[in-house]
Amino acid sequence: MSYNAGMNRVHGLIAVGLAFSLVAFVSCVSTDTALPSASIERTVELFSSGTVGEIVSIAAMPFLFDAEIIVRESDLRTIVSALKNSSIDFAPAAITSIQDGAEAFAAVFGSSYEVTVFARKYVPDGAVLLDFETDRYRAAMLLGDRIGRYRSILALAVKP
Amino acid sequence: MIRRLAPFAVILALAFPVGVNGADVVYVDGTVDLRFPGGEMTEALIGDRVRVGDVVITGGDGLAELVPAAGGLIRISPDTVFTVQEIERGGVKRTVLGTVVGSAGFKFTRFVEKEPLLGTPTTVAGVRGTEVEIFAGSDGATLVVVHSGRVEVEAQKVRVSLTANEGVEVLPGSPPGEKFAVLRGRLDYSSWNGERLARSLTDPESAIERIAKGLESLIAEIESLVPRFDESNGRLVEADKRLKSIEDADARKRFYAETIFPLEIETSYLALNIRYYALSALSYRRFVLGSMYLKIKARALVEGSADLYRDFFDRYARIIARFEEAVTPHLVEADI
Repeated sequence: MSYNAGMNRVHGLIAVGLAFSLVAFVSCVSTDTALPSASIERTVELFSSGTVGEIVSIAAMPFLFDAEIIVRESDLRTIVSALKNSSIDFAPAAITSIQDGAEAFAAVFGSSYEVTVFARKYVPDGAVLLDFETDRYRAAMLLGDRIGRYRSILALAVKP
Repeated sequence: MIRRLAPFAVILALAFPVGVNGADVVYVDGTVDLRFPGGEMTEALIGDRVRVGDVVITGGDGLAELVPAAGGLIRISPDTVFTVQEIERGGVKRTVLGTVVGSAGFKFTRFVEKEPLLGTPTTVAGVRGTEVEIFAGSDGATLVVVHSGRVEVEAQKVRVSLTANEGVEVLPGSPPGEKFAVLRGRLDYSSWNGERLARSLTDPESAIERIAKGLESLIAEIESLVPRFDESNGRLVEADKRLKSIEDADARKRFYAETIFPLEIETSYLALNIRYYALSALSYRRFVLGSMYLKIKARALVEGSADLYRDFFDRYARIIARFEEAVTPHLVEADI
């Protein structure tokens, strides 16, 4: 095998490898996956089994619920408490998809001026959007940067 | 539109220094946050100065006391959203100390400058040597109770004058009701608001109609000011063109002083008032309408009965659409 032919083969293998890596990367970042990271899983578990106070302690402020920007803790407690007393299952096993937060944001939270500005100002790169499918509702949870063992909860949406 | 207003805001700031505005935090207990005009939030500490555009938010366990630069004392109760804004009244820029939701007590005994106005998003009250409490309910209603001095409460261009031991209730988007006698300590915010909230949760459709009326009253103010601003701004642009065509330096100075400067003041005051009502509408939308939405949504989630509240949610969506159309063009990203 000539040097050139050998190099072509090496380049070809590198290209195939890169292509596989790219597919794997894209599938992790922007499409559904059944493998949430440990910090995501711990956050969802906390939402499922923790107290309202524990959940509020890792929630960002301002917080977004549906299209409502919340800046008062009492309002946040109202909605977290209701979600915990509802039939919605936020267990890790109920996650149906994990998507890039910035890309999937508008489809879930809408595109009003306030919501768009919220996304621009308060949603960091690397945020992830989790979808939960239950018998009655479709719920979504937006997670941001890590806070210790957890991710910060930036937003929630619940639709019939 | 906001971009067009920016130069006038600068002119206004130069013409009327803001040094007389603001209030110093002299006491905090529990959770008290300070939200700045850019949206950043920080814990409020003793010694902080609350300036025009800032918002004080007390938690369920929070209490704050402020001393305004003009003198007096403001006591902000738990679970209250308190704002400092500016508005033009009678050709003068006035500070408005606003209770958006929750309650605050005010004691003004001396003034080194013009008295501040007190308000909720839909009500404004002028005070004089006064001790007064303002309750802003979860449903947008306002209750003003005077302990000493005199207060002029204005809503929907109707004024009611209150003196010591008198109170008046104002429903959103309505003029003040009949004033009534009230003794100190006989009315407290939590029972007043608790009753109103219970009624709202029992009949959410009526509650959201009242809330919509309050928001419409603010939008009406904006919509009446915008054509006046456009007209004044148009005259200013024309005058500016004329100024450039004047060659004599003295004549140019005279024309500026006699024509352009008054127009600049007029235009910037109109811009200031549009901003005042737009920010009041934003506060009202967020802390009254938004808070009511969260309460009803919470109820629907717990009961598993979103269909029962369909009328409420439909009306809510229409109000949001109206807000988006009529108010957001006058907001800037920093407001969010």
